[in-house]
Formats: sequence, structure tokens, C-alpha cells
Amino acid sequence: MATKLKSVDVVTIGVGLTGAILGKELAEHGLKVVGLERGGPRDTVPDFQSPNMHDELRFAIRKGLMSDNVKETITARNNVSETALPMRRWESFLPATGVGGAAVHWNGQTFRFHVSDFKMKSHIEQRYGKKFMDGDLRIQDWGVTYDELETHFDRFEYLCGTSGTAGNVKGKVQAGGNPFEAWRSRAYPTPAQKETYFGALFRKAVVDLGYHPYPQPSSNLSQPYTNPEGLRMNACVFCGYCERFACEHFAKSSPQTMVLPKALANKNYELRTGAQVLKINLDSDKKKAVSVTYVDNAGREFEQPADLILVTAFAVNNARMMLLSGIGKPYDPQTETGTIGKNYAYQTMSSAQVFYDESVNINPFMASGANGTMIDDFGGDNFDHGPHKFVGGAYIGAIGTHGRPIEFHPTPPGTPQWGLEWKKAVKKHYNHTIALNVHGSSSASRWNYLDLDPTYKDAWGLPLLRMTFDFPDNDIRMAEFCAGKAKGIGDKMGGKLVAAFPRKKSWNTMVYQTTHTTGGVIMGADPKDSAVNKYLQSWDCPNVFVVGASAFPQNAAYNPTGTVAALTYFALDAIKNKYLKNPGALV
Amino acid sequence: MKMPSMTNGRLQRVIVVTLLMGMGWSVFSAETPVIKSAVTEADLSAGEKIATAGGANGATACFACHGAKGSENLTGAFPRIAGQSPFYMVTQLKDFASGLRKSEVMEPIAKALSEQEMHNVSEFYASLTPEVLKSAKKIAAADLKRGELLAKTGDMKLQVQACANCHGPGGIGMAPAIPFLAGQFSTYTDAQLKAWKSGTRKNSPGQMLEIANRLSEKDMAALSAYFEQVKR
Repeated sequence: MATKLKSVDVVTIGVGLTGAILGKELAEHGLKVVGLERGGPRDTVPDFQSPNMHDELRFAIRKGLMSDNVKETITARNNVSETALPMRRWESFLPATGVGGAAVHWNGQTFRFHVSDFKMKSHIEQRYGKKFMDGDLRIQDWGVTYDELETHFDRFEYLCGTSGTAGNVKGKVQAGGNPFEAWRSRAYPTPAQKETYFGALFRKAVVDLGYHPYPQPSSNLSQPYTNPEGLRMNACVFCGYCERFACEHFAKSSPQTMVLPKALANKNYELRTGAQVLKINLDSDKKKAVSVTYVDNAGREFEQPADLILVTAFAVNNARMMLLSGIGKPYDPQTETGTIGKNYAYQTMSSAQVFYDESVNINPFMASGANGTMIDDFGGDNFDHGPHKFVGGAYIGAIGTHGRPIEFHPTPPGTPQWGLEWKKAVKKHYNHTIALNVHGSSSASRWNYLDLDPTYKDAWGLPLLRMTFDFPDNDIRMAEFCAGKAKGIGDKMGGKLVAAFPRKKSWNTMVYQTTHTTGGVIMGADPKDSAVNKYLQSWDCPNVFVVGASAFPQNAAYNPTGTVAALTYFALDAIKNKYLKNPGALV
Repeated sequence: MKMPSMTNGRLQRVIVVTLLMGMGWSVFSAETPVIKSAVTEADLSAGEKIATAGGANGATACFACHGAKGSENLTGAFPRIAGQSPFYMVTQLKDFASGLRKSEVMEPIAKALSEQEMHNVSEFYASLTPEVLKSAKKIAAADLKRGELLAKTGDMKLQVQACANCHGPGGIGMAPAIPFLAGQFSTYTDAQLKAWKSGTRKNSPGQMLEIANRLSEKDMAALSAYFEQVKR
């Protein structure tokens, strides 16, 4: 029997990036906020300190910062005719747990989606005609425009102290930045990080090819910075332990370094860790959420009533929470009815490897999480897709984030995967190889979706989330095209051997791509084809907001964090300025 | 190379490489800075000559302050440099010469050294085994504890990370770029932290300046006292 607790104004389900931002802001606005986090408390000091943190086996291989998939995992299959099986080990993507969520172990790659990304369907139809897209794609407009979000992107970058070179300030293209980027109202808060040697080699080649190189925007800072919250951050030291690790230096923007201390200092804010939320409880006519039920680490069940419930977990877990709570109608791909679980999308990662001889020393171990040199010439709709018969694209960059001993073993195709020949090849190529990222978009398709698994349950007896996903043909064609471009760049870079690896079918849960899972609770202008409105408010339960990459109707080429945060601030403004004054449907 | 004939500094570097190889970093061959030696045995003796008799262009002999063994001047006014990273020492000499690191004593000396001389004398001191320092100073237990906390764990309130992140576990240093702190004279370490804060030392603006700015004088003293009594 659940112990019923005293009602509060706001509950956030999850205290990662979005939960921390919303919790802090709404507590400052005078509301009583409870942040429920399934994982444990943790902070830069003492939890992230070295030498413990630089344990590659524990954190990178055994996924020490990720959620415990013995207790709770996801089942996966490639198509509806298969039986989904549970992922017993995270590999393809890495759901985090604990305070700060995935924004603790991220790389700090901080982008803004393109203007056209937010109206992708209408943009593609306008430029290429209504019949251009494959029939299985379900690309949609977001219901929000870039212009509405600009100030919120800006706010997040200044919270992080993001290091970069502007490419377009108020419509005016800036030298050194990305000429294709969406306009920004002002420059980045800190200058771009120093260019690496591998970045310089990439830059030279792409300039020769007529492309437009620019430094990757990084929330691993190039210099010390004090953010608008008064929190001070340090400069990155290029330790090479960024993604899958937490930063010991206060140099990576994470909830702990940039926002949480302010929430925790506010008496209106209460953080409860070890709180596994089971469901959101609704009133009798299912039009209003009244409370959440959670279990603590001792197995005790609690009911926490709240006026406003913010679903701020990892993207796919947001979808699961909606399904477990019975909010909205589950999506059915056969009939194409229902919206919860619809438009699950991911990322389409390809790559190329540029092998030099021993005269070129790359020193890959001196690395930061987001210190690449890259081009956006083949991202978004920055090139004419007409002849290529696909939508979407990829950014291509020399983005070496580490040279860690267990994971970084570049060897040419054809090298044995173990044994003496493999060792010789690793020794020969380790310090003389550049990996090129081809970071591709992911189109929503009719057959890629999330629902509850009919068989498998978690440690609390609740159905696991079932993920049905494979790369749409459109994205395979995109990957082939963009990996070809990367191959051309590698050749120009002077590699003795250049190997391109376009993403192929089918999706394999044991191959890491990115942790950028999106969709499932998508935003839009119409309740018929979206689960939340432009303010991320549930069409079905107006006092539930579902915040995160779960709202993306499809995924763009860029890393999602900047856009997730911009949507979060946009929702926050709507909650503060509209919803609280007149609680109810905002659209 | 025969192990027994190697000096301690060399031996340590060989051990580092051996450990790295054991971890699968066998790729580190002759071109990496970890084991790259800019000088030959002959240059070591040239370095020793600079240490004991001064440089060709009038640089004062190092031993007067740092000791011929690089660790025996117990006044604490001058750092122990025996076994210090040669790359680090060369960088400091260059920074003394350029004024990035201000020192009335070291500036004219560094300016009078050629780059080759800097390498020679740094390699010489790097090759020496530091004597274990028996600190005569009485340190309050609470200060020692505070120093240890800052060194190993850091302080969340001050937003200061542990020294060990960069200076290595137990302050043994992370060659080539990061100096050891273990067994360093507290007077010297304390003076350096104050130099970062006051701006007379400017050669690590992203890190040490930030950290020193957040430490109180009491914390600086505690930290310095702690590291002095850590054995390397």
C-alpha cells in the first residue's frame, strides 16, 4: 500500500538536464518542486574525481554510469514480424541513471538544428514536391519554428558557456563559423577550442575541396567561464575521458556544474534520489494527472500528489511512462492510429578512417569531447537533394574524442580481429589514423515505433518498453552518399588508405551509434498526429508536460542536446507565463 | 640498455612505458614524448657542468640555490628539482625568460641559458634521485587532514577539483607536462599558489589560476604542508 505524501506544486520524473533546468526555474518561480530521480546522488566532488574516474573498463566498457539493465531494460526487434528480446547489455545507445542523467556522460557537442529542420515536411514538399519522399516515411513539421526557439538556444548556450565560432549572427554570415547554421542573436559565450592536428589536416583538405570547415561547438570549455547563475566553470584539459565519463575538472557543462547547485540551494526544491516512478495516476475521467507512484530503494511505495507533472526522463523512457500511465492512445503501425510511441527515430552513423604512415603523428589521446573540425555542407537541406532521391543528411568531421587503450584500435579492413597480426596492426596504426564522423539524420518511418512489450517485465513487474526499429531505405541511401563524401575528404587528406563505412541494414543492438534516441511522444500542431503540443503539453492531460528528445518528430543530423534544452526553456516560458495563470490546454 | 646502470629518472620513465605497454599501449614507440630523450649522456655531463659551474653565457650555477643534488637545500625557499620532469623544467625556464612566470632570481639566469643548455641542465636534474625529505615542520593534524582532502578529493563548495586529477595519485606528477608535488618544500608550493593568485605566475591561466583564486591562504598552507610530507 502506497504511503500518500503531502501534495506539491510540481513533480519532475527524472533529474537529468531537462528535470534540473525546470526544477530549478520553477522553484525560483515560487513553486514547491520535487525532483524524483531513480538513480543516486552524485557530484563533481567527490564522485567524479580521478584517478577513479579514468577507469575505462568500469565506465566505458562496463558502462558504470548507465542505468542498470538487470532491473529495467528495453526489448528490441527490427520489424513487426519478429519477437523482441530484452537488451541485456547497453551497447547501441546508453541510457544513463543518477542525478544529472546523460548530461553527465555526454561529450558536450552543442548544436542548434537548422531552420528547415523544424518544418521539414512542408520544406521538403515545397522544394522537391509532394511525391519526393519514400512512402514509408512519416516526416512531420514540429509545430514550433526556429525563430520562436532562438532565444532559448541562446539561453542554453550561455548557461553552458559553449565554446564556438559563430557562423551567422542575425543573418550575417561570419568568417570562420558554419555558414549554414541557423541565425543566432549573438556570438558564443566563449571562443572555440583550439584546433587539433587532426582537425587542421581535415580543414586543409575540405578547403581544397571547396567545403566550409568550422570548429565544433563545445560545452567542454575553452576557457574559464562564469554562467548567468553565477556558477564558475574551468577550461578543459584534454584528458580524453569525456563521453561515458563524468568530468572531474568542472570543465564539462552538466547539470551539476551549471544549474543544480542553484536548485539544491532553494528551499522550494527537494531532490529525492532512488525514486523509481512506476506511473502517473489520473483522475476518473483520465483528463487530469493527480499524482505519481514511486518506489524507493527500500522497496517502499509512495504516492506523491502534484498539480503539475513534468515527464523529464530519457527520451524513450518518457514514452514508456506515458504508455504505463495510460495517457494518450498507443500508436498502432498497422492502422496508423494513436500517437504514443509514434515516430521513434535514432541516428544514422557512418564513418571513414584515414590511415597515414608513421610520419604523421595524431596523438589521439589528447582529446576533448567536442573538439572537432567539421563541415555542414551535407547536413540538413544545405545541398540539392533532387538528384539524390533521399531526405536528410550528415555532418562530417574529424572529431577524435579519445585514444583510450581498450576502445581505440584503428586497423585497416581485412585485419584479423585478434592475435599477433591484429596487435601488429594496432601498434602500426594507433597513432597515425584519423577517424571521420559521418553523423547522419534519422527519418521517422511508419514501422519504427515504441510500445509495451507483451512478454518481458522489469524488476517492479511492469512491462518493458518494446522498440521496433530498422534504418529506413531513405537513410541507407543518405548514409551511402555522405560516407562517399567522407571518403573523398580522406583521400584529399593524404591518407595512404581510406576506408569508408556507410551504415548498412539492419540495426544491431550490439553496435554503438549514439545515445540520440528520439520521438515516441512527439510534438506537433495537430492532436491527430502528435502526442504533445508545441509547448510539450500533453493533448490528453493538460497538466502533464513531456520534455525531451521524445518530442522530436524525427531526428536531424546534429546532436540533439541543444535542441532538447531550447524546447525545455520554451516549455518553461509557457508554463510560467501562460499555464500557471490559467491552468488548462494551452493550444 | 642495462637496467642497473640507469639513473632513477630514466628508470621511472622506463617503468611508465612498461606499464603502458602492459595496458595495451604498445604503440608508444620512440616518437612519443614519454620516452623521448632530447639529449645524450654527453649532454647530461654538460648539464651537470651548468648546475655546478654555470652556463657559457654567464648563467649562475644552479647548485647555489637548488643544491648539486637538486633536493638538499632545506631552507625551502627553492624548489626541489631532482627527478622533476625535464619537459616541465625546460618549459619553466622558457617562461622565466619570457616573463610569463616572474622571478627576479630566475629571469636573468633563464635569459642567459641557450635552449640546448636548458635541455642539458633539465635532463641532468631529472636524472637525479631525490632524497626523502624529513620535514622538521610541525603541522596541526586538522591542517594535514584538510590538505589531504583538497589533494585527493577536492572541495565542492569551492568548486575545486582534487590535485590528484592532474598531479597524479599521491602528487607523483604526470610527466611530461605536470610537475610532482609530493615531497616538495611547502614554502615553495605555498609561494606558487600565491603567485598564481597575485598574477606573478601566468603560465596556466585555464587551470592553476582558477584553482588558486578559489583557495584561501589557509587552504594553500594546508595543501602545501600536506604535500611536503608525502613521500615520493
